Amino acid sequence: MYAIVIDDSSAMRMILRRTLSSMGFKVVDAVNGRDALDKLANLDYVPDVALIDWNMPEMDGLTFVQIVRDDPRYRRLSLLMVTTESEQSQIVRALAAGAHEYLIKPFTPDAVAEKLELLGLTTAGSLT
Amino acid sequence: MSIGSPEFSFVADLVRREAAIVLETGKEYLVEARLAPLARAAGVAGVNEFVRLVRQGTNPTHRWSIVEALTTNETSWFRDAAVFEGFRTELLPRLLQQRSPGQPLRIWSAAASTGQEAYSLAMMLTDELPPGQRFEILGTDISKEVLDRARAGQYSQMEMNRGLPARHLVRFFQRHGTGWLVDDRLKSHVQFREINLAGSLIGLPRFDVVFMRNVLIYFDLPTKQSILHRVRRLMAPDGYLILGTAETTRGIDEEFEQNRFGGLSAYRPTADEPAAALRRRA
Amino acid sequence: MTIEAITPLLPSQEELAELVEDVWRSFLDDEIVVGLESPDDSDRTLMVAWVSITGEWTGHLQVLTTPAGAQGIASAMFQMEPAEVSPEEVADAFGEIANMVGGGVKGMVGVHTALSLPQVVLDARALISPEAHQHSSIHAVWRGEPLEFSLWERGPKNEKTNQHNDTAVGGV
Repeated sequence: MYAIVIDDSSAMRMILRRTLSSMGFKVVDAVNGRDALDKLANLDYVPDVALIDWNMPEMDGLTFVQIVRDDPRYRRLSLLMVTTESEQSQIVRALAAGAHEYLIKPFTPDAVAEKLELLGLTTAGSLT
Repeated sequence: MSIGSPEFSFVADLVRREAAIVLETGKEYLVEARLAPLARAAGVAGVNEFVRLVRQGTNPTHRWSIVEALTTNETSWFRDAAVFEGFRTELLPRLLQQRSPGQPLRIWSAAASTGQEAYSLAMMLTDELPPGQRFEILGTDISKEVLDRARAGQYSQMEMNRGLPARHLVRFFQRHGTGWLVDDRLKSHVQFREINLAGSLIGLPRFDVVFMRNVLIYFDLPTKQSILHRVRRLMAPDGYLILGTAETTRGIDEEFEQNRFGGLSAYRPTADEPAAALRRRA
Repeated sequence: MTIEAITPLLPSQEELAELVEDVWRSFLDDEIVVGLESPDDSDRTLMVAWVSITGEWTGHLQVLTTPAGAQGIASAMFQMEPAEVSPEEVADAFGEIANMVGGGVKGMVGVHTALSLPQVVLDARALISPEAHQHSSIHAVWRGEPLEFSLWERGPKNEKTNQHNDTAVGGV
């Protein structure tokens, strides 16, 4: 399985890369929404999931979600926001914009695994 | 005293399978810390010996105790997606066919702990049931402390990250301090009560569905049988009993028959209860 | 839900501690001890990271620690030896701490606000926040290094801000 991690913090990209790799994902990363669109366009596959920070320079996560959601090329790409934004209204905005799921920072690896499970991306075989 | 690589791998595989917990290398210290009390209780020299013992044996309770020891305090919402999915798509329609809307659907969450299972069921039923169909959920546990938390319906940010679909989060909860609070509307469907399953079950209504997941494993065989027998008497004849995915009533009770619905195993009370009980007493 | 003038809900010390402990438990380890003050506080180079919160409430969340403290944070988050982490990586990791704790504060304030990107200063001798007052702060020790998390509000001390502690939060 393939993932793209989009966050302007290199520490957060590293943490998510480690977590996803341990779950068997091949990971590509990007530093903001604009960079992510460029990276996606240059891949010869569409990842299964994008983990997207909200507040980033150049193009924020919400804008990225809005753009990708309208692009038929990326229909199979699950959109998981991973952000500090935790107000109800913000989560509603993200879901309305097209995000499929939402994870609030800070988070544990179990929480990531369970969100991926909700997106139908089982990682370690089915939960017994 | 530190855990060996094969033992760590065994534990990591076990908890990954049973609880979707990921233990990367570097977490050996956590495994050692959490399993040391179990090793002591088992009377073995150290965690390595304990893990080897468990690995060689076939007792699911010992394996489960390892999983429990490594599970964080945050219980997940909608734990075991296949169970909730099977309940939604298979059990619920069947039950609703046999009932009139005036009859409330009654569900028992019999190891309710801090309430995530009970509230998860309430969210699902709010979404799935036809308008006018009432439902009531009773959550029970032996511990007053966890039930007080369940009644309060307040959960931390970390707990809210655990398996709760975001659309449910915004619909059924409100921000409350650093965490979130269950809406009154959802709470109105759920009650919590202290009950020891091995003790008296007097005063409980008849249930259409009983969720009794991963709690029977803590009882010895005679108590398990007694609990199943008394729970059966509290169930509608066309009701369902749902256990933990690693559990079964086979071998401990003839009063239930297993029905499989995809990833969900649900147990129906068999028709002739008195005969089975008589046979067992003989 | 009634529409009324909402007073911002700022975290108590306990809640600030909870936000910090959540970050540590998730990405660092269980070893942070909140409420402990490091004895030697004098004349030390500090690293500071902060995020600003602006909108219907204005303030900032600031984190102070020693260079060793920040290096330790980066080392743990990047899983590299402390000597291997670059100043950029230290700033990034330390800034992300401020981002997450500040984000937690923003999320509970209850009025419309925006969070700035984190700012980090790697070598500060003295810190002054003009036109702002400290609302609450907590001290902590992690791996022997001191940490201070403080929430500042713009303007003079405002009696109307909703506080969980009814007692005034004087210097902590």
